[in-house]
Order: sequence, then C-alpha cells, then structure tokens
Amino acid sequence: MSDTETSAPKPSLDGLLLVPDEAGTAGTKRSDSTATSARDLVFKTSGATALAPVISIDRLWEAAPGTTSQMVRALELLKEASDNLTQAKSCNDPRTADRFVQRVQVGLPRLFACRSIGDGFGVIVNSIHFAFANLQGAPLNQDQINALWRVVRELRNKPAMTLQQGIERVSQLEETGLEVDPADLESLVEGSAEEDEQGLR
Amino acid sequence: MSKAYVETTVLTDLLLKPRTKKQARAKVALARYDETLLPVYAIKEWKAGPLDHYAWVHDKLRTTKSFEATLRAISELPNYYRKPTAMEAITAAVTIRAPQQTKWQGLGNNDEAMADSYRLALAALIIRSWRKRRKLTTEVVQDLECYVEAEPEVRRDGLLDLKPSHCEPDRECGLAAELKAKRKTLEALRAAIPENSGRTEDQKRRKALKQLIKHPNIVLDPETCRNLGDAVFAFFCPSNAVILTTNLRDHAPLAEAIGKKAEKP
Repeated sequence: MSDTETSAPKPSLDGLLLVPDEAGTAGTKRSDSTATSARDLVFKTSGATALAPVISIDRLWEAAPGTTSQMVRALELLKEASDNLTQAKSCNDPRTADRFVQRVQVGLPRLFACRSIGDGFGVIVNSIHFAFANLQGAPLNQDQINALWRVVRELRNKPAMTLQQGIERVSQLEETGLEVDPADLESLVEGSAEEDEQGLR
Repeated sequence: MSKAYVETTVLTDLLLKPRTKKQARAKVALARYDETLLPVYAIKEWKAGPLDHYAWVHDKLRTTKSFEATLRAISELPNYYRKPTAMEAITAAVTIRAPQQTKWQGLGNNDEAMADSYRLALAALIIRSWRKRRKLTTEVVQDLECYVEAEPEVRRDGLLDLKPSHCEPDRECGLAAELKAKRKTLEALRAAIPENSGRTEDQKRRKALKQLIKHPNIVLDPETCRNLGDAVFAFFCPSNAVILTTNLRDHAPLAEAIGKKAEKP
C-alpha cells in the first residue's frame, strides 16, 4: 500500500482535492481508532508544485490485519485517553469529570508497556503517572485537565517525540501545579530512607 | 533589607529533592529574605556533585536495565556518596523491597519496567532542574568567566553527558584576582580550619588557601579552586548577607572567622 498513490482525485466542497482510499479493501479488522477514511488524504494544490498529501497519524501507522505493533496499540490507547479527557474537559460536574480522568489513570500501565516507542513517549506517560500518585486521589483541577488533554493529544499526534521534547511537555504539566517527580527519588539516589526525611504525604 | 547568599546544599534541596521536607524548608527559607543571591560557584558545585550523582544513577538504570541491580550498585558505592546512616537502609532496600512492592511508586510490573520508570523520572528531573536553576533566587551573582554553564545532554546511547562540569583548565580561575587581593581574609579563613583535622576536605582547603597566601603568583587552577570549596562562600558572601546552608558545621566557622554569618534554612 502506498500513501502517495493519487488516482482520480475529486474536488471537495472546501476546495481541497480528495483522493479516494486506494486501500479500500484493506480496512478489514481495523480497530475503530486506527481506521482511516478517504478524507485522511488531502492536497492543497495540484500539478507539479503539488504539496505532499497530509497523512493522518492513524494512516501513517495503519494497522495491518492481525498486527499488534506497539505504535498501533499506543495510538489506540492515546485515542482512548484523549477521548476521556475531552469528556472530562466538557463536564460541569467535577465528580463526573474525575471519573473520566480516572479512566486515563488506569490506562497508564498499558501505555507505559508501549514505551519502546521512544523516551519522549515514556517520560510523558511516566510523569503523568507520578502526578497522579502524588495527588493521592485528589481530582485534577480544570487547568490541569486542560493541560493533560493538550499533552495527550500532542503525544498522539507525535508519539515518537524525543526525550527533550517529552520533557518540554512534562514542564507544561508541572506549570499547572502537578507534581511530576516521584516522592521516593531521594531514597533511590542517596540511599537515605530515613522516615523523617520522606515525602510530605 | 535581609539578604541570603545561597549555598550548594540549599540549591540541591530546592532542585533535586522533590516533595521532601528538605525542599519545603528550603523554599520557606528563601521566602524569609528580601533578596536571595545565588553565586554561579554554587551552580558549578551542584552540577559537579549532586547532579552528577543523579546522572550516574540514571546511567546505571540505563545500562543495567534493572532496578534491583542499580540499588545494589548504589549500596556498593563508597560511603562518602551517601549519608553514613544510609548504609543499613540501602541494604534493606535491596533485600526487602522487591520492585513489585508498594514502597516504590514507579510504573511497571517487573524489574526492567521499574528501572525505566525511575530512569525516565531522573532524566526529566535532571534536565528540568537545570533549566530552573537560575529562576529560584531573586538574583544570580558572580558569573564565572572560566566556567561554561552547559545544559546536560542526552547522548545517542541514552546516557547523560554533563560536561563541562569543571572550569576550563587552560586559564586561571575567574575568582583569583579578588581572592589574592585580600590576603588577611584568606589567612583568617585558613586559621578557622583545624590544623589537625583528619578530613581530606579540610586538608585540601588549608593547602589551597596556603597557596593563595604564600604564592599568589602561582596560577589558581581549577583543582585548587575546587578545593577552596566552602571558603569561597564565606569569602564572597556580601557583608550584609547570610550564607544559607544546611552544612553549618563547615560553613559557620569559616563565616564567623571573617565576621559573617551562616544560617540553616
């Protein structure tokens, strides 16, 4: 399958050219979250100066029937997390919002299992986990939900980001007051497990 | 107007001890003063000391891919890398705390995943703490011409590179001229260090001060500058400021010897 095949593009209402899904028969057994439609491929110009088609992240990492690559799995899980955070964002009731956020939290171990995608991915998932751990069940505030929603969506769009790029996103979470570092780090690094110097919990 | 001159131990508590009482105390202490001054010498010491140790643990987690093996490696370090009281604690950590147990909060359900969880947490803390270092105090003072403040880098093999962590070796210490201009202060500082001290740190400091006093024409190289250590803080702390440090044992006598004061957070 080629993402650059461009047979018989058709104009759409918004003036962009749409290309029919050349892999129209290959979509069997795809999960909903990674399935793509013809609208995923669009051109902004035509002719010799045509721009390369914009390929959605789902299309780029399209699941072949029967495959379970980490990237595909991660994209599915990130989609789930993103959807839950979208719901949480639009909730007026804090308790309902927190229920959606908790669904994100319980999915983190499965996301972390996909960390071979890259350290940028790993550091974000890991930091979100520690942020939740440090909150000890306290719900996120609206700013924190918004920041988490932005970061998760960005990660889904660019899952293979570098460690440095991942740390930038971690800083964005930290700016909302989330404490993203493990409280037991000092115990590990210095071997100082004296109880009176432990975290503030 | 109250002023604090922030020393390396407090900088370390602020940057590398997230969610601990030490960090909380350091933050409260900074808020006590109208002005807080962070000398670049403290940044240099922090990078070459505590931050370097954190990076070592990070790299150990990376190379062993094992949380337990890393704990063992830490327990086998010479004592001076850890608090003496930690010997038993770390042994217990290795033998009692399996990674799956709830004591450690990391993600993952096996040894390798735990190693990755803490490795990533350390990488994030190291890079972020570096970026925060100049934002903690009201002012960063006494830039060092001989020292380049370079952000830690992640190498292609995933290990951390903290170079340069010391001053440029081919030039004299940027503090040399000011130090050499105050011979009496240097003498008072040297006198404050017990002559018969068995601590290597004290002996090196006395020797470095002696060289500055007796042989001011000798170039003050990076190693001698490093050996001056705590004496640098006493020397350069403004007379209307206090040295803010958790290490009163070493700093208080030096500060008092030249009419200055050291305080704990």
